[in-house]
Amino acid sequence: MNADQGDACVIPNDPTFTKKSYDQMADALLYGFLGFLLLAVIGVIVGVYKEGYLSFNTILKQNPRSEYWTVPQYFGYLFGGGANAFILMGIAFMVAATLSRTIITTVYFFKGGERVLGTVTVLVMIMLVGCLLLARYW
Amino acid sequence: MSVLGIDLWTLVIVLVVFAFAVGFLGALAGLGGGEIINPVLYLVFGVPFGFSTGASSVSVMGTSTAASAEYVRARVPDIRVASLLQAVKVPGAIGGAALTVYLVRLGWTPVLLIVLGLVLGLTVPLYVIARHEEDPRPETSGKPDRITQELGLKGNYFDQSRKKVLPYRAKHSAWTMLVMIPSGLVTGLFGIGGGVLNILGMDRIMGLPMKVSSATSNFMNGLAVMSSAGVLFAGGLVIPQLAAPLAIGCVTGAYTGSRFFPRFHNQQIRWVFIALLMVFSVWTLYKGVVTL
Repeated sequence: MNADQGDACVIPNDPTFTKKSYDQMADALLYGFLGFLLLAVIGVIVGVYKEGYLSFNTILKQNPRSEYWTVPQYFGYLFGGGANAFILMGIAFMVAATLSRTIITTVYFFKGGERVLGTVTVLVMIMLVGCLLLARYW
Repeated sequence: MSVLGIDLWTLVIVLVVFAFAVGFLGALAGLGGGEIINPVLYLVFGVPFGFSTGASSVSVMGTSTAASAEYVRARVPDIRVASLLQAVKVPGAIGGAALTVYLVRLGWTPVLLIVLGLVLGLTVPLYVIARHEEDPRPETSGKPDRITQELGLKGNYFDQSRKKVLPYRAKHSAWTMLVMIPSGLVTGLFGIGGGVLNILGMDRIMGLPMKVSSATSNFMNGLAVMSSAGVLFAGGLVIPQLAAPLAIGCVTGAYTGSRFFPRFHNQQIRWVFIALLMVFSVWTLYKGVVTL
């Protein structure tokens, strides 16, 4: 096994998952997390300033399922300074990050000739997309 | 006791501080925050049970994403093991979340409370028996099963205390996959990570080093919690303005705990967590029984 040059830990290289592949996954997760944090903070601040007069009981009476159900409605809330729209956009960043790292994993599995695990990961992603479609149309 | 009548500013600050404390202590104790966040939201803050589950799942997703970014860069999680186990855990999580939505709509919240109380109660002995120290097993210990051999479930990790790379090899993959079914179900049902079950499977059954088990559990939790959060959102159980302050607090608390206070990993904090789990287990069971 060869080792990554200049890596402090000097973990032996895996033929499928090289240091580059780990870095790509880590970057995807980091950007997703930072995107969520930024948008969630904006969402909370907007929510408190715009809706600060409400008691929390009022917020709990909202139905997020119907309120953000169409794309035009969603962007209407976003550009109108809707707190929930910002927060949901932040959550979407995390979802995108997790999906990205799963896609990266799948690509490297197939590139490394590990078809069984690659297929398993594809099946999981199909399940996930099905789940997200369920979230949209259920 | 409910604090929902207070103004939003105060509530947001209280939620962020509470979630920060849970994330911070959880990082030091080696547990996620879901096991504490969900019961506290319901029992202390008076949030309806389904909404507390939705908020908890978003918090766990945030914690998993943030922690995984760090672990993956250090190349600690075993991607092959995670890919295999999440194939079982994700459907379990989707099924669990769908069941929560269904039971909440039916008004069967007391049943969910009783099950959560039992799950929290069961978490205590599992958490106590889990190893909390790095004790890498030799590569040759145990005979690998067919799945392990076919999929090449082995790897290396850098052991900080020994300052060297240690090899490991998984075993009993099929049994560990079975453990992921209840792990996925509790993830979906209650918006918790199920880390104790994950680590029990990977550490005790599969024989992976503790550090690898913990990082792999975190890595695969992201996908499972994401799928369950999608179902909970579809069911109208994710209230963004409740979930966001919790996720912000939990993520920053977990990051601070793991990044700046690694030396605080000690037995006392674990006992605090165990005591909290026991209290919330009994309290949740009691609430479930009296509201049945």
